[in-house]
Amino acid sequence: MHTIETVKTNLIKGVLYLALILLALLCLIPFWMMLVNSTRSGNEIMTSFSLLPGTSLADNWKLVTDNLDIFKGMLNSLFIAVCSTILVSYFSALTAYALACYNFRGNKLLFTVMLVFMMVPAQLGLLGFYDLCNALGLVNSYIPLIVPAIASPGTVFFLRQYILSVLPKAILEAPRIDGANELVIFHRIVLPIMSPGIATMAIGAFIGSWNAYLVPLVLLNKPELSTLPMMIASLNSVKDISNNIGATYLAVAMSVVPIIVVFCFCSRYIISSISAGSVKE
Amino acid sequence: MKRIISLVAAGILCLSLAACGGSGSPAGGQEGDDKLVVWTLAEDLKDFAAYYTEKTGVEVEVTVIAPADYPTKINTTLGSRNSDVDVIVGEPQMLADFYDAGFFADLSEFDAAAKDKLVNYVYEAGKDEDGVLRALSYQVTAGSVIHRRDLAKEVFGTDDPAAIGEKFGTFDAIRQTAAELDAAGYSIFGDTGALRWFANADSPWVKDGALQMTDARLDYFDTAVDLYQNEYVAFAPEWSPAWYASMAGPLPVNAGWAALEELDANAPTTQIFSYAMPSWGALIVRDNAADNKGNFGVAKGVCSFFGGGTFIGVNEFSANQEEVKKFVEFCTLNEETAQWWLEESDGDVVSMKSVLDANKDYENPSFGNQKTYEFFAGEASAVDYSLVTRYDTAIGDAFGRAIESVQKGEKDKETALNDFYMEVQSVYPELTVPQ
Repeated sequence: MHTIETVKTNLIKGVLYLALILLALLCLIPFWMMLVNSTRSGNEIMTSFSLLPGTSLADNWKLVTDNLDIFKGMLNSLFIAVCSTILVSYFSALTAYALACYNFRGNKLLFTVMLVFMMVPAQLGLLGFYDLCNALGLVNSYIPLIVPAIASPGTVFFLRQYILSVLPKAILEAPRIDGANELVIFHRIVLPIMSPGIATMAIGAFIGSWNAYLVPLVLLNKPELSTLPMMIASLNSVKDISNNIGATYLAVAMSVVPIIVVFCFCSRYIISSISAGSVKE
Repeated sequence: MKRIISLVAAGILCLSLAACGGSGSPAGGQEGDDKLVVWTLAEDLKDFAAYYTEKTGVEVEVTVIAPADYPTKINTTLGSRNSDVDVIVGEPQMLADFYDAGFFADLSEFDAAAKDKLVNYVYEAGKDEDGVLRALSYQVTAGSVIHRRDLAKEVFGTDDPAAIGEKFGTFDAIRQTAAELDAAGYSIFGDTGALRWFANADSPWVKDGALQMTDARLDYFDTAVDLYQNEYVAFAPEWSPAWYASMAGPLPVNAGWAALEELDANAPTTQIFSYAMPSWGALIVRDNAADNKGNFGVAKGVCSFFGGGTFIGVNEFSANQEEVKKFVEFCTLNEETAQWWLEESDGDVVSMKSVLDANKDYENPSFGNQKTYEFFAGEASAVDYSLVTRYDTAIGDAFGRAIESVQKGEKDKETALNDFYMEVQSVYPELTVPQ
């Protein structure tokens, strides 16, 4: 009886593992293809398929560096992404905390307004946004790419729900009795408890900002300000795309590196934070 | 706690200051009056800019923007009368909208020179609806039927481009040619999309506010269906891996978009006889021909056509228009530049008539020593620009979809045409369509 059970569980486990391995491969192969293609020439990519690296890495690299100042682009993108991620995380947490934990007149209304704004697609405001920045003299500046991150209704919505689920109001009463200022309560107690939620949103915000293309393309007119996605897109601008395709793959592969770094860092943080409870029973 | 507040405040202040610092110089973008700023969608202008700097000492800054996003960028920034950019460009299908929006400055002072020096269709495309010259191009992109000389000899007994031109001279001839090639085991085109260049064979898509459905167009429709259903084409669409590979050798029938390794090596193979493409397509064929290099020739098709090409103009809102116009003149109306570009680009066909004439005896080894410049010069001057309308892209695509639906047997011809009329009517309510 007993052995049959183990055989059965082993069998199920085996099938599960097989399915998981297949799924993992499915996720990894496009990624691997990108790395492989960045070492092959445009002609090879267009005419054949391979899972083994080619020999054109040096040529592709030369094409990328001849045409683009890719490290400058990375630095520009990194600056924008880091700044806007910090702003998005801090101010959204602050707003969400207020919406979740304070009872004030108009709380519900404000929250509803935010929900409504979540529904408006960002592309809709592009022309108006450009006109506004033009009038304020903010074209060719990173300010319009960074500061608006402060107002991020989606993140606020997520963090509000998150606070409601992880933060018992009782936990705020202790410091209040001890005479702590409200901001101190937020910084010393609420922020650490919220950190897994913030980290989750920060990953999304970072990736979104790192990959942002249309708004920077329209707002930044000087080559020295170009962000990485703008540079990569400009690699496509030849009549016969097959000439540049290997170089484009290489540039894309390079642009993914920071995202992977951020993801590794943040995901470990999320897991460790999730397992640590705030309220000890 | 005050410390924390001030820390946060200071941090934010630093960030915003850093952001300002990152943006650098003043936002107006007026610094360096002698520097020209070019926004382009083709890399060619980088070479032109470097050459201009070499000749005149004027610094030129070139920003390359992906073609798909170029209109968005121009419409947004110039819509707010931005003066950061001096030289803007456009492909023919974008130009009408740009002219309407008033982004391209008046270049009337070059009108006489352009009319005199450049191939006629380039001059025509550079004028807006009121006949004011606003953009010029350094290249012509005349089309041709790029074909395999060795296969032509084998099947037709001649590789004379004039004879091949007759084989592609009418839609009837194309059907005949396709059948002959099929009997010999070859495919006439990669796929029937190659025929779309001949859609404007005898009339523009729109004339006097009415959609024109002429016999030639119906002939094009029938031919495309015919070639498809008789399997006279190789079913290797333009830009597919198989299509690229076909330039260098045989490929399996019905490759579609598959990568080559996925195809059965023992499947019956075919060779693609010809590619109908603009002059830059001839360079693509040449660059992918491998061992077939020199085996190709260029011939006339059903009608003379052109496709793409970069037109250069001056930003209406640019502060130093006189300087900018000099750059445009240098790129497009200077004979020495045209000759330099012809050599530098390794085969681009320039728009300057005198330079084309000077190179007309050049025997191009990549095309079996054919006199390609002479050929393309003739084709370019034969292009009838009055057949081109701003509706061409949208209507042509819709017509292509109608053809495809019949090819695949989803609709009969009558339904497909009626659906096509309805689609055109809903996109352009101002047009009258045949009932």
